[in-house]
Amino acid sequence: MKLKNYKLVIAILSVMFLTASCKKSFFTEVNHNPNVVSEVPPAVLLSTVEAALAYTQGGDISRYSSLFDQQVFGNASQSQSYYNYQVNPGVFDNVWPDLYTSTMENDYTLINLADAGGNNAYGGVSRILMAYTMQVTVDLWGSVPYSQAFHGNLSDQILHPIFDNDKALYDTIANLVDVGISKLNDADPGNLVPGAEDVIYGGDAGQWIKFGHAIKARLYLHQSKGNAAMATQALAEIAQSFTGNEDNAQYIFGTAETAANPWYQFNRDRPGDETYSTSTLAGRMLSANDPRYPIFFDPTNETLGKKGNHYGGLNDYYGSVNSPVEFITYDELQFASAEATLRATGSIATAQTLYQSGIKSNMEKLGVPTGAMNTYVAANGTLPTTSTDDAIAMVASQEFTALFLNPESWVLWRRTGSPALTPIAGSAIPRRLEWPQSEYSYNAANAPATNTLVAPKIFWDN
Amino acid sequence: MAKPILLLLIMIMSFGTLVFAQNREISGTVKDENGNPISGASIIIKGTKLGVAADALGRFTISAKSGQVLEISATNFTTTDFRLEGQNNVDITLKPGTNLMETVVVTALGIKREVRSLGTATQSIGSDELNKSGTGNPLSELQGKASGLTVINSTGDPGGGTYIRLRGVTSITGNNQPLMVVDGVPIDNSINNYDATFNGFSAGGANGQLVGGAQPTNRGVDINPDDIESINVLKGPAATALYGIQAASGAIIITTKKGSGRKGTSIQVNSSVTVDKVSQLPALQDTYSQGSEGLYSPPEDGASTSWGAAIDTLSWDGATDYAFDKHGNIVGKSSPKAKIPVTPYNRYSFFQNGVTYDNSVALSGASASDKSSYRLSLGNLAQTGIIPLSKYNKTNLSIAGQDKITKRLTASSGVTYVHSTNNKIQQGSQLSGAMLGLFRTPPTFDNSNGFSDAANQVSAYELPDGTQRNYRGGGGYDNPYWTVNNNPYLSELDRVLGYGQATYQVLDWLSANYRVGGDVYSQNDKQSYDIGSNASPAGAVYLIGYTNRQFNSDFTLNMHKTFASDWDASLILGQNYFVLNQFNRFSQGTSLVLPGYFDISNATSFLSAETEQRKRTMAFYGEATLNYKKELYLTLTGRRETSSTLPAANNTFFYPSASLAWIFTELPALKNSNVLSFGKLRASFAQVGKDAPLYALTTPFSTASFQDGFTNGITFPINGNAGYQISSATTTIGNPNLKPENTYSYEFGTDLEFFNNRIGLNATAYYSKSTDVIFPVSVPYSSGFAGALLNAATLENKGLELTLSTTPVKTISGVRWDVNFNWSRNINKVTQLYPGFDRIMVGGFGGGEAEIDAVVGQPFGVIYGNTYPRAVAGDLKSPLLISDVKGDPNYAMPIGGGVGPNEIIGNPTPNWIGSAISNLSYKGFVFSFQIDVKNGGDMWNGTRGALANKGTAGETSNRGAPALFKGLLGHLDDNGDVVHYAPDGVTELPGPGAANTIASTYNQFYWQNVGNSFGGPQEIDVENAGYTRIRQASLTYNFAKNLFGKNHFTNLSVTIFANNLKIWTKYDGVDPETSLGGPANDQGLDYFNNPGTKSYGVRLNLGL
Repeated sequence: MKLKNYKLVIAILSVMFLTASCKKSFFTEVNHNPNVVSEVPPAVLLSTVEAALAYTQGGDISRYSSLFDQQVFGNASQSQSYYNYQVNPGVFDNVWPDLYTSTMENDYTLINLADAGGNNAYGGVSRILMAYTMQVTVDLWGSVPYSQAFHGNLSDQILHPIFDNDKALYDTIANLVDVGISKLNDADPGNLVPGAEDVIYGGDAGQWIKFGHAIKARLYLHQSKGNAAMATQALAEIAQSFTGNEDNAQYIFGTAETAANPWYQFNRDRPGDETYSTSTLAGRMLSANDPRYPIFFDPTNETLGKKGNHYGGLNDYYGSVNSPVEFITYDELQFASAEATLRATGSIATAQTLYQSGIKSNMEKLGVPTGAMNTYVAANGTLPTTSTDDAIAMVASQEFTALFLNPESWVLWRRTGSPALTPIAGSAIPRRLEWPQSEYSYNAANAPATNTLVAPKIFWDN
Repeated sequence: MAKPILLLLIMIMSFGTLVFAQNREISGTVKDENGNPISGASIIIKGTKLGVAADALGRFTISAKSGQVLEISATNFTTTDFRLEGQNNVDITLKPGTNLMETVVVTALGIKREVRSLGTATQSIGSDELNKSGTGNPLSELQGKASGLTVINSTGDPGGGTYIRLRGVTSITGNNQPLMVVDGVPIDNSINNYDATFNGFSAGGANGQLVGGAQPTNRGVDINPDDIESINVLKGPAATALYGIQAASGAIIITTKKGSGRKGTSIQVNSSVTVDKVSQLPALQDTYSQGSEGLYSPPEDGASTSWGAAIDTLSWDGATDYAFDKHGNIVGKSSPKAKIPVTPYNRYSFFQNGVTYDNSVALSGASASDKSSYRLSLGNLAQTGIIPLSKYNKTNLSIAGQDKITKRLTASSGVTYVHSTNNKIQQGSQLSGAMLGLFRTPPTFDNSNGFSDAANQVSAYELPDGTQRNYRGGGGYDNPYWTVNNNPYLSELDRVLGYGQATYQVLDWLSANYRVGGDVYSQNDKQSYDIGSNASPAGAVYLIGYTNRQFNSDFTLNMHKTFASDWDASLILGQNYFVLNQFNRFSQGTSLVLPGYFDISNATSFLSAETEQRKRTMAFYGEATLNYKKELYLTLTGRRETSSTLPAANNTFFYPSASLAWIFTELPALKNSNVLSFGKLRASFAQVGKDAPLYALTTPFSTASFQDGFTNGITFPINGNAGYQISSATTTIGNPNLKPENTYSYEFGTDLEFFNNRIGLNATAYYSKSTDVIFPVSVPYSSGFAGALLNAATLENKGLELTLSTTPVKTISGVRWDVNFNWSRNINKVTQLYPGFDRIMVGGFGGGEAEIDAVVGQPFGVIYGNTYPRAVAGDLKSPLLISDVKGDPNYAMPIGGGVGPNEIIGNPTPNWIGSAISNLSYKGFVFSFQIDVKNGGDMWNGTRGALANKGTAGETSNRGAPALFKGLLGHLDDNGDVVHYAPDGVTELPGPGAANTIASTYNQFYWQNVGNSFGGPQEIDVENAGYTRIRQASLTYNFAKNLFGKNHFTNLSVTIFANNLKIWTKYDGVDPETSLGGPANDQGLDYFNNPGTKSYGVRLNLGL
């Protein structure tokens, strides 16, 4: 063997040895995704949580509730099925993750982040949002996971959370509000405070506190049937809550198609699947000469194309690209106050003032001309004195209109049976959503026994 | 090196030259039966293991003594012995490799080995068996050519994807397709896709999980079949263990042509023209109009269904100003306005004949000094599809060459450039899918508006005001002519593949080889929806760019020694480095201002995104082979690999393989038998690993975006505010403790040749078990996430593969008939998922409906969906429950409406697949055909379900016919339990009642809610998608070389051929070889998939 061959062998072996001695970082450094981040400030989570909550409530939740309580008409495809109560647990595998992942997991992360950074204002806002979301969730399903939820990526990883009792969850929600309010009242809001990214209140702590009281008012009112003490507690919360439409808790969507209001998106993408001016509610409003009818509905544009700012039969106020999704509004609290008064004291006169205020504040919000408003109130503003139940039924019937597209309208109907509705199919109108298939498939040990759209009822539904 | 062309071309010969000085120099040539030189043929002095390789002209010189025997072998030729009797010049003719066992194939890492020495199953496909179909798709050419190989064309669309799988599934969410290797370099076979209507962005995924969008292409189709010399299919882990993690699902080893080797220049021209027709379509009814409940409803009312009046009761009124029909409005026959009786429109007229021109020309030759050779080829495929405006145009330019630089140093390289443009058609579950709009069209609506070339007539699909002309007054689903014109999807590809290789013969027994190769491409897709498209009413433009860059480097030391005279050993030691970089850029512009102007600057709302994927692996490997008397062959391999995708603590792993081949016919007692000419038993064991998905170790924050299944949803930023999320409905929790996946397998086989190779039989049985399979375990969303990435699953595969090669007729007069059969059966079982989980979704629609799932105890990829309520809840074998609820429209029918449980409703995996390939030749004629059989295997025919619901399915013309549904009377009570009514019709008694005897009717309610999977349970639309088909038939005539007196050409042949000439199947949708999810793991769904094709063509091959 010639010398140069040995040199070559040595050279080759050297190359192999050098490549062999690669550092660990040679591999680990490339396994970091440059398109994501590992830490974020609270502001960018708050943006997400508010938008996700508004999109989920204004999308799936609003569709289910307003199809079931006949505020809208299911004309074709899935909407037609839901309108006829044809669902299965798989149907709810869109709304459930939007609540549990996009909304609440991100909110839970925000709570932890805010607390770790001593950012009390964010800690307060994030808890109020969590309380509201859980209240909506419990009112749809009853018992749901919370105490062990959102621990999927924490060090005490829980992949299969238990379902908490719905009545107990109401106490948990009230506690969340209390802690939230105390954080918002803290003299030190923290280094980082909510600002423009807070679409709901622009970082106004006072308004967030009022929203917290409004949530608690709902919690008590929902349990106030035959329970004057609860009604009294509701009144106490309302007193600390919204003082006008300017306090309304609502989310206003963006004008870009990627930030569009969910009803607008639905009508744009699925024209004619749902129609509006043919709903039970629309029929009632039309026969009552309700001046809000042309504000809610556009019968001339029921299925086809775009007209003005909106697609399909919803008119501009609720059907535009940047229409609001309302959480709790001043008018609802006026009606709630009327109902709570009737339940707490039975005073029809006091209730009637609040009731009329409810109608008026709703119409003012919607921009009904004063003349038309007064005509309507004159015709519909008198509560019956036959019984408090009759008065409550009338309050609820008007509140139901004011809660157009708001899932609270379905809660209201379930609690009061008003307005009277006839089942579209079968013998019973749904009183709950079914727990989603995913929980039965992937959390079988904890998911409750099979359920239907009518049973088991939510604990306050009696 | 004076010739410029040689600057481009360098050469390699695998084992360099060895010259024995003390012997006589003997020179010779190696040729095939046609007199063409065989370059690279190996000439070895028997018993010494000294040898040379033939040059590009088939010439060689070797030092040998008289009386020694030369053993000459070459890929795809029969190895021949030649005894030297004192000649200085020898001419050796090799016969084609009819005796497979004596041929040489390319195994892992480009190592050439005789088939007889292999302890594993491989199957080789020669160039004459490729590009017979004229589709220019090298992967679909593999159909039926090898046992154990599954090939599924997703659609007949030009440029459509092709899914290939060897044996069974070993990974749940990872890639299950074999590694593609071209000239020793792994190449990318990704699916790069953006589904604007459903799933968004997926680049390079194994699971597109598509249900809409345009059919994705896998990048393996870019190779030009005319450039391929041979394809060797390495089936099991033992055969591919040397390749490491990338080949854990087998490997497709492609060797390209390197040069004809004829001195001077030779030219090969291949040219074909193929006409495609639609192969099979769902039946549609022609008797009932648009509308509902027997009443006609005009297009402007927007009804989606065809449950209207009987067409023979309707007339056109002859109005000339009616935008939806040139015959006028539809009125009742008895109306005073009635003028022309309505006749149904032929919706199938939408399809056209597609035409494919496939042309390639190759120049090859060798330098006068014969040290160098080259091949230069140019190929073009120009295809128009059966759907108007679908197109695919692919141009391949390849140069390859080899050069013997010094006596010891040889080098070679090759570069291929591919450019393709593909006009794709929207399909599947989306409002702009072409088939969805087409097949739902009532027979009373003419999508073409009377034009025979409607695709080129704007007034066919647009009203004068520019809004859409379709059967739903502009809403609903797009007119298919609108879709093909106004929803264009153009995919453009530029790709360069190449390698360079050098071998240095360091010592007689030691050579060093280095090979570096790269695969770089950019795919630029532009997808647009015009204003008024139903999938995106405001209009949208999407620009998506994919850049893929991967490099592979292998350094090997090859050692070879003969000990004593009976023992022969070789050892290969190597090092591999692989790097992958993928960059994807995405821009979306929505809400267009001007209609018909598809430029992103025409949009008013914008979104952009990017992804970057980087990966590195490094490995050391070795292969030792030991051969005793050419009777026993032992091969041992080992590979130690490090991958960047795994946590640092677990990122290095080792896997071994061992195989043994025993040629038992070498035993003296069996040698030279006339019956059993050759016999081998083989056994192997291997363990292979797979690494983790990219970036799977952490749970990071990303830009927030959420959808609800009905709308496009919300994507941040909003109004200038950023939004980030740690979770959304699809987020998987990262896992810092992942381990590599592990598959161990063993296989046993035998290769037998009988009656002087007139009959050959190869049989292989295998078993494999994959453990620690990584997948995102679905967790309840209440955990805050959709999944957790875990080493959780265990999968098993066992199977049998048989290949039978026969030559029933072979006469002296030149008649020869070969028939080869391939048969395989794979039984896959998911043996374990994460504790507490019995099912996870692989793809499909989700929500427990029409999904493809992995279920414990079941074969991978079963169809899961909703079922009818039955007498025994959940038992699909128990009788159906027939509603006894009087007054309910469902009365006396199976209970529809999706209230039954969700169950496994089908299995897309066939019982077995087989093929028969026949070649009959006489004089210049060759008649060939190939029959493929897929026995069993289900498909969910969602198309049928939707068409039954909409009332356009052919079977719905039985409306009004009496029906008596079999089953037990009963219904479900409020708790979901099976009950039936007592005779009083009110009292509910537990369990089902008596057998149904109540007559019912096939009415609109039945077809909309019970007898279809659109409003009823999915189980109704699971069909047997097995088939028998004449995949190919062809007749070739080879003209005599002296046709024009002198030999002006080396070969000239004309072939007429047909693909999918005939299909026998029970499947009543489109061609059952289809896949909604594209070339991905989720096979078995059909929902308005674009149809398949049958084709007829003629091909000319000319060599000069």
